[in-house]
Amino acid sequence: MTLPLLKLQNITRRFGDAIAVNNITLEVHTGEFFTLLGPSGCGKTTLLRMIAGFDQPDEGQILLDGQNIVGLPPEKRPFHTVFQSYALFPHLTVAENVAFPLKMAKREQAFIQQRVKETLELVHLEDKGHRFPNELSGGQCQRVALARSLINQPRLLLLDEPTSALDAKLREKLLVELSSLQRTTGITFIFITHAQDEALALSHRIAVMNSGHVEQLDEPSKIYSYPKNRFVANFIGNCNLLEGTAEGFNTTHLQINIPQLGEVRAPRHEKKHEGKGWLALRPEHIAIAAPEADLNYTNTFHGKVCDFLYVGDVTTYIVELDSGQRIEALLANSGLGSIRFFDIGDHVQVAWHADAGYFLPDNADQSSQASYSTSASTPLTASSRT
Amino acid sequence: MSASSTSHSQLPIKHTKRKSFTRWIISFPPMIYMILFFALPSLIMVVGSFMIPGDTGGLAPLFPIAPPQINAQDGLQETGLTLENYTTFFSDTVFAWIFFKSVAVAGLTTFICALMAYPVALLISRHPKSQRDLLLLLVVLPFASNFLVRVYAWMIILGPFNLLFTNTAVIIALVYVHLPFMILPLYTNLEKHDPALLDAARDLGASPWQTFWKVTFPLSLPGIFSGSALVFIPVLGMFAIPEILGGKDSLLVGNLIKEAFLATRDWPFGSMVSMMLTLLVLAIAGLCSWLSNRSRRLQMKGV
Repeated sequence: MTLPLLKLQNITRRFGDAIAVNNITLEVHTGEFFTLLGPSGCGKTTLLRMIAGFDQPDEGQILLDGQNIVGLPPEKRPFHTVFQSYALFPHLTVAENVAFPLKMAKREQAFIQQRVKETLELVHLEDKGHRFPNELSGGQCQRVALARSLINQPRLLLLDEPTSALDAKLREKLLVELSSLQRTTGITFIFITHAQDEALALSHRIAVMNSGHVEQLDEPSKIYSYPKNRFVANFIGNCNLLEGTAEGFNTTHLQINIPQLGEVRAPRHEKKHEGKGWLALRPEHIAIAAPEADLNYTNTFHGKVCDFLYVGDVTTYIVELDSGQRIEALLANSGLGSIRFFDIGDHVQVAWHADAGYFLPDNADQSSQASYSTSASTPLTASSRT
Repeated sequence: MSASSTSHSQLPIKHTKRKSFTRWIISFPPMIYMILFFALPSLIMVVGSFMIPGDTGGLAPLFPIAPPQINAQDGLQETGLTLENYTTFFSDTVFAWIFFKSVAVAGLTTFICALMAYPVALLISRHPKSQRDLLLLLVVLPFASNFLVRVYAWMIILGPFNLLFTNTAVIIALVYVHLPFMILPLYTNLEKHDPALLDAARDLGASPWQTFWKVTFPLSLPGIFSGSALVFIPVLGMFAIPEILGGKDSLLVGNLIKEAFLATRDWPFGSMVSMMLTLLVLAIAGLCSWLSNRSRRLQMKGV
């Protein structure tokens, strides 16, 4: 195996008594789109600041091509950062902003002018070079910041929640642009975000962070389909979590006893699954139908619609089962016209396949604060999981 | 607008009318104050600079008030307007020299103030927010004691160094008195700088020194300009410090004006010098804004 571009080894950073980053070890490979995903305060920004060189770890090593770079000031590191607030120099024009890294590197004027022109073309701002940052829109500022960080072809581009100040439409546009920029430039990206849809849509690999450590590091589809614990299951997409006990298994399936609800069958992913745990079920794997319909699934239960969220392409129904649990079910609005299938108070049945779901044994669960998630899944998530 | 909406449109109009009326009421007292105590005196000064000094000081009346006195050997009190004050000013180079020296002293004071204030302002602005107020309090603490007392204190300090009654003593005291006026606007400017800009500069390859000259310093220019105005202009009119700590050759424009009004009681001449000072300050301010506009335009042209 080749040497990773960047390796973090047992990185720990404390602020007083609080541990912001707790013994993190991970590798980032050349050409990768790597994402650090986590809620605010999970330590992802502290980690980024240590990679960029603004902050130094209390313990551990940051290895660039196998060389420890802890203590090296930011200007000596071949990394550039796109800041959350853009951090464009307000007294310099767009072209001067973009030229800044090359000027600091003391490149000759002709080369700088040529590169500025090329880089502004790359982000579609070739006609805005003479403008000042305060004359640009938020989206344009963000693209200037990108151009400025890319012009000197860094080994690593660090993006600190670059989309957080943009509205939804611009955000989606920028994400598409980021993805194609990463592909055309071949530069390794480390992307920091708290938005799981962005992470799923863009990344080659995601490190899901929570309270200073990495909960799970894997490809987006693996993280979505096989969350390692309740925190990941809840944080990535929407998830129904049913507490229960695995009581038996055969070669392919587990038998899980869920209090009040009864016995359900779930796929078996590991050799041994016994004891208490949580059954994670994605809303899109749950079918919802009128009580008299014949769904023909292993796990079928009856309940009442108590709320729904209509977002255009899909509707999320929240169903209260007769046993008391609440289940979210996603229904695609694929019918023509403005048909709404169910209303609040309607009696329905919900059902899922025996191969759907993922059992999370309690011993794999490190975070106990995970709870029922009601955040609506966005169209972006929906398209990225196909 | 359609007919149906006219009844609705009356409400906002009435509202804005009332609003502008309120604004008038609020700004009326300060406006009257400014007219009575700034505009009017300035106008009197403009007219006064073209008048003739009165027999016993003050201004001679514009028109003969009483019928001409027969007291011939005393001569008649001259009345009316004259350009004589201005011709006196331009016919003797000593006045131009005093003006030149005042500008030089004020310029040097401003420059030294800027040099000394910058590190202080930068240091305060980089301190945690909770400590900044205390540090700013320390900056303005000298104002708590009387200005004259502080100037006399310098006599005690400077005496042993044989610096008393020299231009050096004057500049030392001028810098001391005006330093807070440079620190405060500079701090106000530096405090607003986005710390992310410094991170960005370092991240993009600038050393701490380059970061200062390429980012912090250019962004602080407005603060330096407003601080300079707050130091330069009062120094031009300052008369107490040169009088107490300066020697015979330390006379500045402020002293000239003070002498004209209080010692020789030649009010028209004093008004004229004061007018020239105002014109000089306006000219310098105009030059500064023209220069800063031009530098911005030049900046926009280059890559």
